[in-house]
Amino acid sequence: MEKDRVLLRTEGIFKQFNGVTVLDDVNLEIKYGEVHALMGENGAGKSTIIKIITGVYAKDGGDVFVDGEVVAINNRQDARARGISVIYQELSLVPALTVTENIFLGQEIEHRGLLSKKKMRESVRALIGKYAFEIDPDAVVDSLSMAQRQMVEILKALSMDAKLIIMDEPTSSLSAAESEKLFDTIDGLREKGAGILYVSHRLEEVYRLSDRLTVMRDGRIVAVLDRSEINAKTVTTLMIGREPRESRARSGRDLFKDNYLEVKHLSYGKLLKDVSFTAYGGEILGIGGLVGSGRTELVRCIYGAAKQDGGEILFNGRPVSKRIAKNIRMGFGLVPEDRRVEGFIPVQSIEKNIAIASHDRLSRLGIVNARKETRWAEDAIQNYDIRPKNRHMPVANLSGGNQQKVVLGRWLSRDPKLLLLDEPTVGVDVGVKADLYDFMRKLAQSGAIIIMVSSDLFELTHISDRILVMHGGRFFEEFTHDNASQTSVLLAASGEHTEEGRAL
Amino acid sequence: MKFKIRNKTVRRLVSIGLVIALALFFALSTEAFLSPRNLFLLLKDSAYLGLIALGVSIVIIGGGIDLSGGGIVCVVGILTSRLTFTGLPGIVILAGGVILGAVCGAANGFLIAAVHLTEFVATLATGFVFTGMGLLFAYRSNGRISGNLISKSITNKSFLAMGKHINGLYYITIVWVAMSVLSHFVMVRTKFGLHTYAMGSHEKSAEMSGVNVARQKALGFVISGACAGLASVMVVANMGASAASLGTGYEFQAIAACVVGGLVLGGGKGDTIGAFIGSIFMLLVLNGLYKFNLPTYWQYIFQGAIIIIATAFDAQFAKFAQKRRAAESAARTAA
Amino acid sequence: MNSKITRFIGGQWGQRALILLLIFIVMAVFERKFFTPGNVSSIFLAISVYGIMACGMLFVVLLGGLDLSVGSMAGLSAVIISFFAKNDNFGTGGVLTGLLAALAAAVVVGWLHGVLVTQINMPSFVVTLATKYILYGFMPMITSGAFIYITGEGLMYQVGNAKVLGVPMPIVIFLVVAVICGLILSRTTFGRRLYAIGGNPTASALVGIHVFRDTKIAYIISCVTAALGGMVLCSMNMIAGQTTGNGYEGNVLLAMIVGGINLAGGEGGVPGAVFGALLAGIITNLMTLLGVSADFQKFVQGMIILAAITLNVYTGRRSAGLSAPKRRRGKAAEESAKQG
Repeated sequence: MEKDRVLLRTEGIFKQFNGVTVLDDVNLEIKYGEVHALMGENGAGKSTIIKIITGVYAKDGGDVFVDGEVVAINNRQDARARGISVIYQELSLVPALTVTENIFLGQEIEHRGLLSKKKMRESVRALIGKYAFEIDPDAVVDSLSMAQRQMVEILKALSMDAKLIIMDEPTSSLSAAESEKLFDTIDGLREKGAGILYVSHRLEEVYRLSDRLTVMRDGRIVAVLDRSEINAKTVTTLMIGREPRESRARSGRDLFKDNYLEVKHLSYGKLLKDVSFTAYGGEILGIGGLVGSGRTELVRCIYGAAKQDGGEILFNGRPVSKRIAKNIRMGFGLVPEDRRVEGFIPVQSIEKNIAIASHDRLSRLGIVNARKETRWAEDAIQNYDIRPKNRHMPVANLSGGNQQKVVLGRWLSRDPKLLLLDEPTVGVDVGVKADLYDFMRKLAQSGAIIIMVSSDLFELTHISDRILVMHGGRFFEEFTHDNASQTSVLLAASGEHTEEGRAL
Repeated sequence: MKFKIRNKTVRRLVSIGLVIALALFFALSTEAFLSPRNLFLLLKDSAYLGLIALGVSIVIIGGGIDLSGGGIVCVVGILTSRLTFTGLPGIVILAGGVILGAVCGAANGFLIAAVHLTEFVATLATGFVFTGMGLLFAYRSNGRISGNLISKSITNKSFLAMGKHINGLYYITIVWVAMSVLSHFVMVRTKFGLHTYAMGSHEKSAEMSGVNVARQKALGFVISGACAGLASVMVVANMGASAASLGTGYEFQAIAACVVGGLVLGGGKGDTIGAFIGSIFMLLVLNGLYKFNLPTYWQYIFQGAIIIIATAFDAQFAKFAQKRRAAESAARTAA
Repeated sequence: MNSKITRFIGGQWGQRALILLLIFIVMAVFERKFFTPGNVSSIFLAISVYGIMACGMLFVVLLGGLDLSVGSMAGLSAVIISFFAKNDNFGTGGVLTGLLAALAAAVVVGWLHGVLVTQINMPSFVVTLATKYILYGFMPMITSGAFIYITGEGLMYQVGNAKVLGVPMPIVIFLVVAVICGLILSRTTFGRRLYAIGGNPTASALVGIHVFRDTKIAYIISCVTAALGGMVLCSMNMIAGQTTGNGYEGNVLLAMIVGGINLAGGEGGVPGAVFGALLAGIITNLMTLLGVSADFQKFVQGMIILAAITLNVYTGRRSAGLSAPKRRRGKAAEESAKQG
């Protein structure tokens, strides 16, 4: 494996989903002995190109070359046979088995029908020695740290003679020290001549590791940068493109000082460290930051769905209850991150899904007033334009946008005083998105506090009146509606101070 | 000095400790307990349950559950007792019984791996079906389905010989021990065993790594059925007749034996040796109830309580093990 | 109008009506005894016990759980009530004391189920299978192994044998239980919460539902109706003993499955359970008429359960009985579709 030779090259890769082009003329090139970073916003096409290289998706056009030859990769086995391995975010290890057993699972060495444990162990030991990993081949995976498990995944890939190892956000569940260990491992792999495609949202990791960086935007490659060209400003600008500043609506709402939420010195495990802020009625407070920066835990603690380790949460001067039901009666509402898992009840009708949080108003002595309930749901369907306009339709059958309208409508129909939104528009089509923003603005106008966690930079900078950006469990910078730009928010989320933001 | 005990070992010591404590208690309180005859009988009865539990334990390790064991024992027992009157040599009938059990297991495997039915509902229902089939084939006083069941004494000598003993040690005990050793070897040293553990511990990961989950599941049920079939033939040979009530409740006792022995419902934990120890424990309890002249209904209460206590204990034990690991890794980072 | 009829025939209730019609035709041709007044009323009596128990077990099944202890619970309740009644020479006071004691036992057992399922996170079928044996083991402690015969014409006799406006008491009790359970499920906030928990426990917790508390209540209801069923059963048979209620969980489970209740939770209602009980009662009666022995009836029961869940899986209308991994795979597919 000589260095600098091209390992994998794609030429003019084209891919559509339901008539929507998600990849257009993608020409990616990875060499032996290089760590090649791939960056781009959510939806830029990073995971789609990886899935095409590894045979999970079929491409609609273009070619993949490995070692200069055109190859057909139709499934994971094909990819493996070509020396391409992926380390998934969700690890694919079996917890009850040992390191050796995991590495050889599905490709065991056998001798007369029996497992050659010794041979397998020795081969793992040799591999560990070659890359100088610190890991016991006989340790049960269940007892390993996340970083060690990642090493096992890498070993598993190497045992299959992987030339190209693709890592998708490998540090998202690692601590700083563990990440550093992983980076050392990656350095070792590069030394030995393997090619690494490293997908990450974190700029600091990309500086630390990569030889080259490919930036994607809207399904295209917009730039390939050499190590010397990589700097935060360039990269974020490339990722976001030109910002249409003029189209932004002015906020200019009055604050309702009699409806406020105070969070004081909140801490939660390793994810939240001494977080304090105050939010007032009438404002949409955006919370930015990378996945794993503690955003979700923050809103869950406020809502009562997670129990903080320390600190205080006060709503209009009174401590917030630990019980969700009580908080809902106080006027709280939460639109959770993954609506399918946490948001709605798929088999149940639109009516039941909307009314389920409002039985305190739709019932007396535990008896539901069915007529009230129906009217409640019909009103919500009308007011929030949920389609189809059939209250008996199971929510599972609705489009993603309408499902989100159901979850949001559940709270909006209660006139909440504090609405917490976690990634409210993921998987929602453009038309419905505009509706959702409209509802949020109207609600804010009526005096409610809205706290919105989002990874969508456009949404964050355009909808929020104020943005707090989190980094490593703390608030890092604060932006106002007027001085926030997508680039600066992204920079702050990566831990780079900006001119526009106010450091916290 | 470093002194390290694995959690697995701790759990094993708990179940062995239970057996020893119980045995000691009986040895001290009843005179006849330590007599060789009583011990051999105890081992014979344990073997009957133990063989069924052995098969069930493989299904449990793979993350499943098999509630049809009793039904398989019933149908195999009745059919083999009929077969003895054809005059076939005992060993052929034995093979036939094991194959019939395996076929029943294969039916379970098909329903679960190919039709994708929930394991406990499917095997609960097939348990009914197998029991009913057994009764369909049972001898009746007037030949009609509605006639009274009768049992006929088996006269086939070569078949009855399998139920005998040498110097007090019953053949079924020898078969049980041999099967336990063999199955432990298979579970630890072969791909089949490794894949079963992998599937039980994390089905999705195992599948991604190339484990054929459907085949693995089906095989587990086939083995479980074959073990139940073997147990059934051996016990019929020992009793010299089969009864319609044969096998009743054994699916449940087998699960109790497994959970006492440290097999965790849900899969991936424990081993077939655990089923071995658990079976002895169960028989000690039943034996003890008998020795102390406690009414038979106590066995139902004990069995139910044992399952609940053992499962609840394992839930707590898992928490404890987690804590221990966390403490260990904290100590490692500190060092 | 026309479309309404076709929708009825094509829908769930149309199919149910069709199944019943088919059975009646078959019976009319082959087994005339089926239609004798005596037999029809005995079917309804059998159905009433299954029905009472099915209505309660429905609460647990809606949560995606299962209660296999109902047969033993019914038996235990029968012997408790008979025991107290007998000591009072079957006077009203004794019966009521017994009923209270039986209900108290049911509440304790149901609560225990709930605690083990929620706090210890044990699978419901393991818990209830274990208590099935435990309760069965408790029965002889009360009866001392003997049967208790119910004598006299007191309350204990009336429960199973009296008639209200010509309708046998067990059927009246069944209808009352069905109506109460139906109203709880369809009209109360508790009912709404149960369906929500069964459909998605995580989402339910996030709208402020106390999932653990409501789950415990559901298990208690299941045991309480089983206890009531046991009382009716022993009063009808005028005897209580070790065999009372034995194996009834199989019939009730059969009623659930043929009634189209989704074993994965969140879907189904009292009408389905009642229909299922009706069908289970007819099937059992049929087998008795045809001279199928009680043990062999289990065979038919098992086959019907297998056929019904297989049918449910393949018609794809509901996910009843579908194994967990398959569902997970389905979810993964949805997710990748979402990303695309």
